Amino acid sequence: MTGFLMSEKLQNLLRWGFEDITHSVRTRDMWLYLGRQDIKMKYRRSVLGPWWYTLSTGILVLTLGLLWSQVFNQPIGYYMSYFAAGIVTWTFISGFITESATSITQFEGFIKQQYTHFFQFVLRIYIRHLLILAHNFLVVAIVFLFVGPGFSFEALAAIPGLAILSLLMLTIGTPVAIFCTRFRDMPQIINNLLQVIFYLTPIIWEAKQIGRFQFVSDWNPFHAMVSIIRKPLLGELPAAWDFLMIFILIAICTLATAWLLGKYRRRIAYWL
Amino acid sequence: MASIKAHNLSIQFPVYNAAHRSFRGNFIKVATGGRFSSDLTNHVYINALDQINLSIQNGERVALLGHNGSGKSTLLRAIAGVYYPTGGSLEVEGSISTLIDLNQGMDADATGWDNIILRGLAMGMSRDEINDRKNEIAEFSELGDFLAIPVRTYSSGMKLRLAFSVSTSSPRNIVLMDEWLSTGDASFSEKATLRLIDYLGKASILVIATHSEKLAMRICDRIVTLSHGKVENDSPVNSPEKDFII
Repeated sequence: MTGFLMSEKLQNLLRWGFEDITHSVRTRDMWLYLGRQDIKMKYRRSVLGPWWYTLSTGILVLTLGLLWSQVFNQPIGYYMSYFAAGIVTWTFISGFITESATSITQFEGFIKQQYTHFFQFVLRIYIRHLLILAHNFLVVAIVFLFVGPGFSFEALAAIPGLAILSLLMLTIGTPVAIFCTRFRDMPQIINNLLQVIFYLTPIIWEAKQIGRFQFVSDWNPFHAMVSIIRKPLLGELPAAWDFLMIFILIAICTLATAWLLGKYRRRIAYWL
Repeated sequence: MASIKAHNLSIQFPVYNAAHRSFRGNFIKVATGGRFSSDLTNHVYINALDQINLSIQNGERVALLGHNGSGKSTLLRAIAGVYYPTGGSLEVEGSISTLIDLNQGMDADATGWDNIILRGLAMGMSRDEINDRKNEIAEFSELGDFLAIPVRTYSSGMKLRLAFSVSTSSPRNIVLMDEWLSTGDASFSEKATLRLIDYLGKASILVIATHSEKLAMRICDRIVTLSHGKVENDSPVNSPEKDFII
């Protein structure tokens, strides 16, 4: 039956790929602990520790929020909330993707010691960035409660939004990691792309400000990714379109992840 | 029952240069219909292992001898499951412990206690297993209060003690070693040797890559000599002393 839809070879590749994923998820002692440890380690001897994330994001939101609310002639409270929610979500997405680029190469020593499931590294990096997000979220909370609109009941929708966004990020991470291991120019390319995408995505500006060009942000998947967190925080439920686009991307990226892992996981050690 | 069976096992390493690794190279290849392909896809390969036939049974202690670059370490890593065969087949049964890089997973800025967890996880132990063993590990390392401070303050001998204590705390079927382990000062070294012997005694198969024929004769019952990725000689040791005392 399935042979009608895809060849046996393809089925095997996908099965191997999913095997890597399920094994990786099961070794949660590893990625959960090590992801936390990585953050702890980075700030081991600093007084503020990971609260540096909070502080630097706070300064960014305060200064640029003030500046751009004037440039765009927007009410300060509203604009700062919009900007804070957007930039914190973006930092989560782009920080994770940037680091996934090296999520295999940075564990070279580990990979050369034993048989390895590769998806665990993407999970470990995800945990790092989830923790950074948690620290940065304090800025969003402060801005919303003191200068912004406060939190409405709709804000709770940001929680399932985060879960869906995380699913998409995890499935993007593996293809990025594999490409970047094989082609060492890719991390730079991805870095540059993300920088451009940041300005093309409504984070500093709002989609409605570009008038008839709004279709550009409508079709921008990063806009949907930011929106499913930012919209609920601002008291508005995300559009069905945002979810549709994200679910389609999750489906595509999951298949890509399984296929790439199935096809290349036995080659990855040779590329290091 | 542990076993290792290699049939015509070959491992070929691609040698990449910037052109192969860059996206541009591959893009030009597509864009020009392969005109530059002779420059860009003429991969250079190194045959690290070339048609190895080897069968290691339960209970065997095998030494791999050979010059630098003869393929000893590559064979160890292939058995460990790092490199998937590019030719032939390799079947390995049993849980594996690789004592190749004892420090793998450890972090100089973390405390000794944290490093027990880090190294344990890198060895594939679960948190529960590590918790069960950590006191025994700590006691064996004789590091006492030092375990509460960062490893970066340790002397190299102390670091090695800690790494050794964790690495040999969880018994496995197959032990892969790159050279014999020697640890720290005289008194600890003796204790460590005894522990290593005990550890190896619990394992069903030992494969050790070494330059020392003397060591091989002493602890192994079979010597496999590799040369340029091929098995040059494979012979039993008649009367292994198996006393492990180095």
